[in-house]
Amino acid sequence: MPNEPTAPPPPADGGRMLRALIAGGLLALALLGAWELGWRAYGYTAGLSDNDNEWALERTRLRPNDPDVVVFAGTSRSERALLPAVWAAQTGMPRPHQLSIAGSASQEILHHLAVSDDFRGLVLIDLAPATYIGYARDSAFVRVVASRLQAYNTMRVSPARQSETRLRQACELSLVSFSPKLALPAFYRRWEEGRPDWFFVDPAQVRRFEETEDPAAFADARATMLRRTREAAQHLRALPEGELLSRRDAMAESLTRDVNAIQARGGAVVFVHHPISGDLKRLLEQLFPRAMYWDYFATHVPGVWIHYADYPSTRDVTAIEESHLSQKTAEAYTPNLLRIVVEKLTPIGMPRGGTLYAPESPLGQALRRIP
Amino acid sequence: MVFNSLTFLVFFAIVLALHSLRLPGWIRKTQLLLASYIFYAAWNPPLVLLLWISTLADWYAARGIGNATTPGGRRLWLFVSLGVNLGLLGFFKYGDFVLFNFQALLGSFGIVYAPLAMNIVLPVGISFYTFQTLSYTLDVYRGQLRPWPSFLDYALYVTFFPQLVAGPIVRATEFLPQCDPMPRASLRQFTWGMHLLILGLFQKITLADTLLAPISDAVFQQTGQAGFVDGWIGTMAFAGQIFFDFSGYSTCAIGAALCLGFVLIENFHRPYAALGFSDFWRRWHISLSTWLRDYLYIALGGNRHGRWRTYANLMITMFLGGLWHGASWRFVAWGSLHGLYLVVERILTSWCGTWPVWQRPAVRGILWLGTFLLVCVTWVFFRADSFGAAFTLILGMFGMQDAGGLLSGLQRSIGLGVVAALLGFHLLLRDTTLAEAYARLPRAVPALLVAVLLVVLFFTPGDDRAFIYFQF
Repeated sequence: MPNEPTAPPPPADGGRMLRALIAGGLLALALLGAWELGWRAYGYTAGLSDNDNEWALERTRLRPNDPDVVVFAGTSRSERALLPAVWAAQTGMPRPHQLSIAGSASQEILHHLAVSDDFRGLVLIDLAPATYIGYARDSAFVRVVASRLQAYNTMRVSPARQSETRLRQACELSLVSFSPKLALPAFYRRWEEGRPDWFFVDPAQVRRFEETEDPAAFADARATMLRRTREAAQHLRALPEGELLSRRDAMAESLTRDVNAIQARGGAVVFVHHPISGDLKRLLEQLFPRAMYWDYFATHVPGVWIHYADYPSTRDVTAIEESHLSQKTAEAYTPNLLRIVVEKLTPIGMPRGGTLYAPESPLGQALRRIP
Repeated sequence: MVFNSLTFLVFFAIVLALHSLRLPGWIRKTQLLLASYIFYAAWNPPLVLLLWISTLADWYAARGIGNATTPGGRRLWLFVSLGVNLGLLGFFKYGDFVLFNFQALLGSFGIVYAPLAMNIVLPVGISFYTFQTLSYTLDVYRGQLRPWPSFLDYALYVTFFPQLVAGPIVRATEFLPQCDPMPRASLRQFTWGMHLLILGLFQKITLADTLLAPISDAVFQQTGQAGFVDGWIGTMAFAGQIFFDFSGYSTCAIGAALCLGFVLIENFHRPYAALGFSDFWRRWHISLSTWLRDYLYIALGGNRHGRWRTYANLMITMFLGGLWHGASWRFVAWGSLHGLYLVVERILTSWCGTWPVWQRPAVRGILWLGTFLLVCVTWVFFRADSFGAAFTLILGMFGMQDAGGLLSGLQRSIGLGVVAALLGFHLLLRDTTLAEAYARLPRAVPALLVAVLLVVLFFTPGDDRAFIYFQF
């Protein structure tokens, strides 16, 4: 080893290296082409993935200080139940921003919007029942939101991150092989979990909410969800009722602060309980009786509170695996919910600085056109 | 902007296309400079200002040194340069650290002091470009370089995007002469540069991020549950991860520069094949270790003032080298441990370094293994989230903690397999260069390697991890 840093010269034969690059590049192209065609033939289609950067990019698209901005912020139930495209078609307004995060404490998204001084729009949010009594700061519910907010904070100042996410979106929309589900780390994870479908993941499994109306296709997801809910129930039943109520009250206070902050800027918050059904519905009602939680929040926290069971157009909607709506159900549910939102919002919107639902505002006009 | 991104691929394709146009040298130089500013600004635009301050300060300081007629005048300009560069570095990198420790110090005397949080954003690459511009002024001060006549060349030297944010830390004496005339890559340079880019990305994306990072993360996030086996596998996985991460960046930087016709120095030379710690530091982050040697260790007196002073100089150099890596006492511990290793090695070498026994293959093997394992122990302080976590893991690595079965069988196999392959590769190519090894490959192998690396790269899109050394 020399004591001074050096720059070793390249190999002598430039022609050989050029041939290696060309031949290697063509071979790689052929292999990747075959891979792409293979997965397409197997039934995969190109589409966007749900990750921190996609969420952060969507968040950067919220127009500051625009009262016509509509945000869907909630959990996976909100993700499945509210279809931005259907909402946009009904109102004739720009598409709402889907900022719901699966498995999240959606109160954290609401809080983020509340402390964002330039947010003055309308938020539709659902709350996970398990978070009615609060949540630990280091819980998975919070970490998933924190991770997305961190991505947003980076993306806000970094043109490189924005352009990277846009380029990746373009690739994901054009190439099946770009799906994270077909990336090496995903195969590795599935193999490690010992899944028999670690390599040939059934494309219908990936898109089942979009493609099937058969509840039997969701038997595994339903069983897992019920098991987790029962495990949570054991923990909850160990807590004295006094503690549950004080935690609930603290949550109500926290929600009130956030709703007030948004309303003070002329915005509005609509809390929605999306349809659930079957055993899960019964179990959650036992654990979190409506009168004790939902109705309490509805009377103590400002904003609009919509429970699906209170309206003829939504009370009989069935969740395909008891927790989430299928694509087809959501296509009918979204306009029905929109009508309820209009009905509830119209009388209260006018005085707020003439912004959100004032007769002259585009969103106000659009909402009033809804039959 | 990071190399492991689609944005960089698009950016680099445009830069290469513009650079290959038949335009006058100053135009190509200017467009390369602008591209470098875009590369840096893409991360956080306002922080380009710092880069400009650093560039201008050292440009004028070096001219001041060159024009000064008295030693005092030369010294004054040198202090201006040191003040600006170390001031920027001190404020942005160590501001919060100093404040926190000051607060803790006062607290230990019972004085409650609650300063306003500064929440300083650490500008990416500040440690690298600060050291680079400083070396220019120091070389002019020491008479090894005359102030460079072209500001454009000098600005390009400071800002040249392939090595701007994570090195190699290039000396002005190596880079500036290449600017005149503005180079174009030969076929050899371009094709080898592309090979290096692919190899560097493979090291970073596939080996560091996809294969090793999950293993080291699993162990370092729960050090309390790591026993002997998982503790060592997790630590060796991190040794591999940081090597592939940083060496991957350097390889990409050298490759990208070569595609543009610029030659950068080698930054890593099979460090895990080192026999002893002096040897390790001749092979690991070579541009930093030689910088510290030339501008700090030798300036402190090096080994010219007796044994004890030499040991003290080694410790000071490695202490500050550790602090350069980050504003945390863990990095200081990491650097100091390396300083201690170097001192002990020096003592042992002066006592029994000439014994013939050291030439026996088995003894050399033991020396090599001992060096690697002791280096791994230092990585624990580098990677752990706290001293508590570091000591807990070290207890586990020495079998003094119950094992919790942190890693799966597959993770253990991957960790051991990749690290074994890395060590084998380093030992095999210990005294040769990549280019020489490449030239010895059978005819069809290079094309197959390129194809395999490209395909694997495509299948490992990564999770957007930045390079570890970006934080320094």
